[in-house]
Amino acid sequence: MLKNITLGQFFPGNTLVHRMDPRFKLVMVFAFIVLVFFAKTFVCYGIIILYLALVIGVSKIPVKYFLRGLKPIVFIIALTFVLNVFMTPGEHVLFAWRFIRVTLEGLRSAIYLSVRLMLLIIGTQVLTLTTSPVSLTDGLEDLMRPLSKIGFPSHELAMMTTIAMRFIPTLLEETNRIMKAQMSRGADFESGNLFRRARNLVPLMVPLFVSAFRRADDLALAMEARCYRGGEGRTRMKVLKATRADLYAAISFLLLTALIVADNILAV
Amino acid sequence: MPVRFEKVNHVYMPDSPFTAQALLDVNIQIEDGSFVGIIGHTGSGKTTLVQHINALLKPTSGKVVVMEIDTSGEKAGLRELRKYVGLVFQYPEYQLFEETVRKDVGYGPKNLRLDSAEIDRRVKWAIEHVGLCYDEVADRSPFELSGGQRRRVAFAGVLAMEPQILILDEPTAGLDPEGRANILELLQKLHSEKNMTIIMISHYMDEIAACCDRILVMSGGRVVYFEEPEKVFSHYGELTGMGLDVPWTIKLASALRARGADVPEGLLTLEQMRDFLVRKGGTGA
Repeated sequence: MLKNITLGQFFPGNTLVHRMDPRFKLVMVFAFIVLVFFAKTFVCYGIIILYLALVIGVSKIPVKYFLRGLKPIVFIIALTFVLNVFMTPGEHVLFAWRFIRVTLEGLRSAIYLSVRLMLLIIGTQVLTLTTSPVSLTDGLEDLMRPLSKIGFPSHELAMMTTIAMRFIPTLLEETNRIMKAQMSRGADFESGNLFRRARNLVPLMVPLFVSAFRRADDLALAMEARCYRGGEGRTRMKVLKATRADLYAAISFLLLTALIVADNILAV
Repeated sequence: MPVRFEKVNHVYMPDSPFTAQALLDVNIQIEDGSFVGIIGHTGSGKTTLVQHINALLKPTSGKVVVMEIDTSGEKAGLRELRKYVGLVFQYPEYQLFEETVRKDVGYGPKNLRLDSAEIDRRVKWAIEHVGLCYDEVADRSPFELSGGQRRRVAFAGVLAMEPQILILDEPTAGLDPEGRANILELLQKLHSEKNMTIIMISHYMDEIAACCDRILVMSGGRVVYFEEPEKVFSHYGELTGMGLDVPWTIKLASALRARGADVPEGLLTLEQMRDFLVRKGGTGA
């Protein structure tokens, strides 16, 4: 049922990757995405894949978690691959039958594009798997802070996100509990047509909403009782700061960038 | 037809970093018409255990047989099973959802596809049995009622299914002394009049000692003891070692014994203790 849903995908650990400053991790993932788009040769992709493999190795996260993350986009990758194989015009024809033509250029761009897609997904997964949602929003808040000069509510946004995420497991647990309670009274959430199923959800949704509002009320009161009044002048319990892990990450990433730039220059 | 657990193990979220063994090799048999109290530290597996009885949870390995229905079986059997086994959750007042008390209590019987006359009869019976006035509350919204009344309505919602086995997960948590006494009185009445099998989880040892004829002690997912109250509470030291309390009367008896008084085992309820003390006082010993 619902018990197998874990919040986001955070995989707890205490590795170099886990210990990095979330702000730096965010920036690095962004830079990584840009970098992937600069890769133009097989060598280049090879280097990036090696780098990613290294990072995953250091993070000690089982590879199956990354594969699981790829599952929802398998179709998109496959479609990209097929479209590119058959639709790219080129000179070196490998295979032709009636109107179907497969060219070397097509095959090459198909491989490039699908590998690129996978790299993007896996790269961002490194971020979400090794960073707890709370520190992720903390990092985002910090990075968005300059925008508050032009009236962008960065603190409020981050606080709302944090609270929302904080309550996902609570509400899931609550859902599970109410579901079980109603099932003990003979409720059936699993059969019937769509309309019937939707109507059967009423005994679940009403108590869930009632309790969500109650919790929101309680939380607002508890925050006010502890003098919460917005982000102005607020300090943090966990102050984000750069560590040795960030230094290693920066060095390795600069190395990667240098290699790819070199490859780009040589390839021209 | 008793409730039977055979080598039951239950693991939450297997193969993940959050995996937890909640039940470990549980072998028990709960006889018909018994009143079982389940005690144990928070996280010892009490709730997991009782949720196996009406197949809300299924064993990871092993077998649970209730009313001769194997809980890992067909869906049709489970519907039948839930007709026999009523489960009142912790803080059941948060699961009310209908516009009126009448409809909410009638939700269970309606799911059993009973005809409307029978539903009405059961709703009235259940509401009055939990100590509420039918004419007063039946057409009010459950959300207008007080916390204690809401809990009774939720309780009535399970009773209206007329189960043969009634399971309650901390039915008296957060109630005032009067509310607690009312609920216990009701349970004892159901047990003696309707011959219901009652299984109750509680942290109040005095409650357990006063009502139950068998006590099941859980610790770390294992069943440590499952025997008569007198025997269970004679393991005073072990129980306190598990972070559990013993009834007030047991504490008094052991304190008296420590001072050299001759106090027999098995004085569990306040009444027994009072009678004993009065008798002792009468003889001037």
